[in-house]
Amino acid sequence: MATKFKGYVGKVLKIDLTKKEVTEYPFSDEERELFLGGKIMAAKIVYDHIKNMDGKLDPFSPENIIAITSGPLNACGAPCSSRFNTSTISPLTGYYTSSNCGGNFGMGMKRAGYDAIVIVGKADEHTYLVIKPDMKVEFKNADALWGKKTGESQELIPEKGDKFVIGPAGENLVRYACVVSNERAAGRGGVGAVFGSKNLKGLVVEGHVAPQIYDKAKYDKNNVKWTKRLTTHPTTGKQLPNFGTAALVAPMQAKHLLSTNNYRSGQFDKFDDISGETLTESYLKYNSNCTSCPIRCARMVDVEGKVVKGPEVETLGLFGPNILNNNMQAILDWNNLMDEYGMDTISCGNTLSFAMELNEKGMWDNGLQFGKIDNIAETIESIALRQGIGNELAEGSKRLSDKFGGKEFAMNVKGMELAAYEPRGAVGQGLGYAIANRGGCHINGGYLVVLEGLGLSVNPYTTHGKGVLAAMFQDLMEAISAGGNCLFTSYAFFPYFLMGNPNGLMTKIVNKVMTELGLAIKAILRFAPVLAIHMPFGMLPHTKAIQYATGMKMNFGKFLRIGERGYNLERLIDVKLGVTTADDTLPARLTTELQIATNPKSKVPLDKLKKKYYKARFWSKDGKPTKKLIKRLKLDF
Amino acid sequence: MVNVKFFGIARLKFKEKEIQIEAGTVKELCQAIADRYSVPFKDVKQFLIYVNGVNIVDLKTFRTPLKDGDNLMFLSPSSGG
Repeated sequence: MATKFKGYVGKVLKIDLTKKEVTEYPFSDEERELFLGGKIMAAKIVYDHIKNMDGKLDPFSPENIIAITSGPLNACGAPCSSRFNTSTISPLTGYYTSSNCGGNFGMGMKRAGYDAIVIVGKADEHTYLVIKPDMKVEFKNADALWGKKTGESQELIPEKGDKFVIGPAGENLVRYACVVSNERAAGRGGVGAVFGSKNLKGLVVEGHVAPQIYDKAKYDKNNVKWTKRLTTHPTTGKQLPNFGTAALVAPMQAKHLLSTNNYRSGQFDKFDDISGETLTESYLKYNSNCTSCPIRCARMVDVEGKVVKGPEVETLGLFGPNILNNNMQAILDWNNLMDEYGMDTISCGNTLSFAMELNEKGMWDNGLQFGKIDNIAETIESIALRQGIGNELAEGSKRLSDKFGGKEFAMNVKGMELAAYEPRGAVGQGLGYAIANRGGCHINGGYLVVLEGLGLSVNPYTTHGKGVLAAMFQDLMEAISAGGNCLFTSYAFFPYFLMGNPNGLMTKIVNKVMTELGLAIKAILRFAPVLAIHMPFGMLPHTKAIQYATGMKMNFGKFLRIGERGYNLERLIDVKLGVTTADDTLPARLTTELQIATNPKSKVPLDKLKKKYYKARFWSKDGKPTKKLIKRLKLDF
Repeated sequence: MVNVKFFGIARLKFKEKEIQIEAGTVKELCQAIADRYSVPFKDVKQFLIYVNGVNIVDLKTFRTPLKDGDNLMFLSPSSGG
């Protein structure tokens, strides 16, 4: 189905593994305008797939669907635009999950002539797919690749194109297995296990289709300005290139946000041993980037004589303070091991800390102990291969708590493990974890911790304004992701004077008033299309870039509405699969126990926050998008 | 003497991890750091400053008094998940 819009390449490929059948999936230009691309386009595809099903869908059944989607800016040369999306029904949560990846596969998919690839069914043998232009798909036997790690698998596949593969964890249905392209992972939600359940080792895309640009002169000019803003902004121009996301460790420590001892504390006395500064000064070989990214946040480090991608802040937190470990080299080794076996470091680390506490409390004798690190590598391997205790750990913390107890300290939401931010030090972040569509995700929840202490200093304990702020940032990040950009481009949204002068008068005013802007932000969300403008000062260059690349009329209001549409559509998928307000919750430790004994506010007042959030979303009291809202968002199909 | 640790962009700017320095208030401290590294005062006060674990915006900002043995952190606003 051809498209009138530039930027896109026009076709969506559908592959039925059971029937070995290849067809074109219809995706219209009207849908492109409504759903843009990436995770929102995928949500439309997944919703259409499940809408006539009754109740739950077994994520490991052939009926589950995988939607690998690009955004209009992928392969078009905009800064930080290599990010592509993979969505499915998660084997961790049973609900919708979308996992973003910075490897080259997404760009390669467009060069092969496809905006998206949809996969259903189950192959009758271990298979990898070679995908070329003009609907040419080869089903290749993957017996020789089965059991191989992600790096070796990509090397062994003889075709030259861009690859997207699982490792042993995905093959063995580890519920938090990932899919890897280059050294980058679609990490969260167990997408890799769904690949494994379909006997699908991976995909290769080959081709030389070049997306066209609608107004190249304006597009290039916008990209130059955008790149300049990213490379001069304090966050994307200094912090991230120099220290990566690991730079957050020290601010998290200062703000009681560093999950420690399975979220019993927000501070770790040896935090500096695993900080971004230590990583850079003592372990970094060089920094690196995804294709087209000027930020270069990736940490390249030495593991057993080989230079590999280093850990992000989440991995440092969860394999450092959260298991009472201050050995940086060990974390580098484990991070590489998990990448190679193909599993999510967040869910893995969090599940391990839960198992340690179960052992500590005498609820499961498993040999894992806080501060004991000599058995971690072998445990990671046992998870990937589902051997011994690894077979239990591969199920994730929710299912472990079903079996051994300890739900109040099993740090997951809807079955997905929390990231390394201890939310009792930033209650808006706690709200985000609880209500995020894909489970305990720091990003999908609105990432308010950036406002509540890491970037700005908005009161971290108040409930005021947090509902609408979460909704607005969720919508913005949805749309940015759908366009094909890295979410790190959103950090340049904050003006220099805020991020570069935290004690300045303007920053103080913003910190004070932001929580009082509830009604104003709610009005913006309600009447977003009225804001037919591009944001000033290069705060959000995405809207111009999409307009100039595609020829699609785009502005801030429309962009925000697309994000809102995407978030609500994901919620509708979850509702269809049985999610209720009872699932929008947190482990009791975070809502009933004080993080700091002398601070009565240091727990998450979740009931109050949830009510505010549902109102901000225009949802019913039971957490469902109303018919009126569904109609307003044009989701009544 | 107070103990000061630099993180993030502060670490890049001052090229030191930790120093001990004499100061009676946060403002005096910023001035002492500016003098020590020959940088403008305004460049020093543009960090998140924590005194014994508390952000100076929750104390008396630059008028916050310091005493011997206080532990300070200079941090840069950060983001990235």
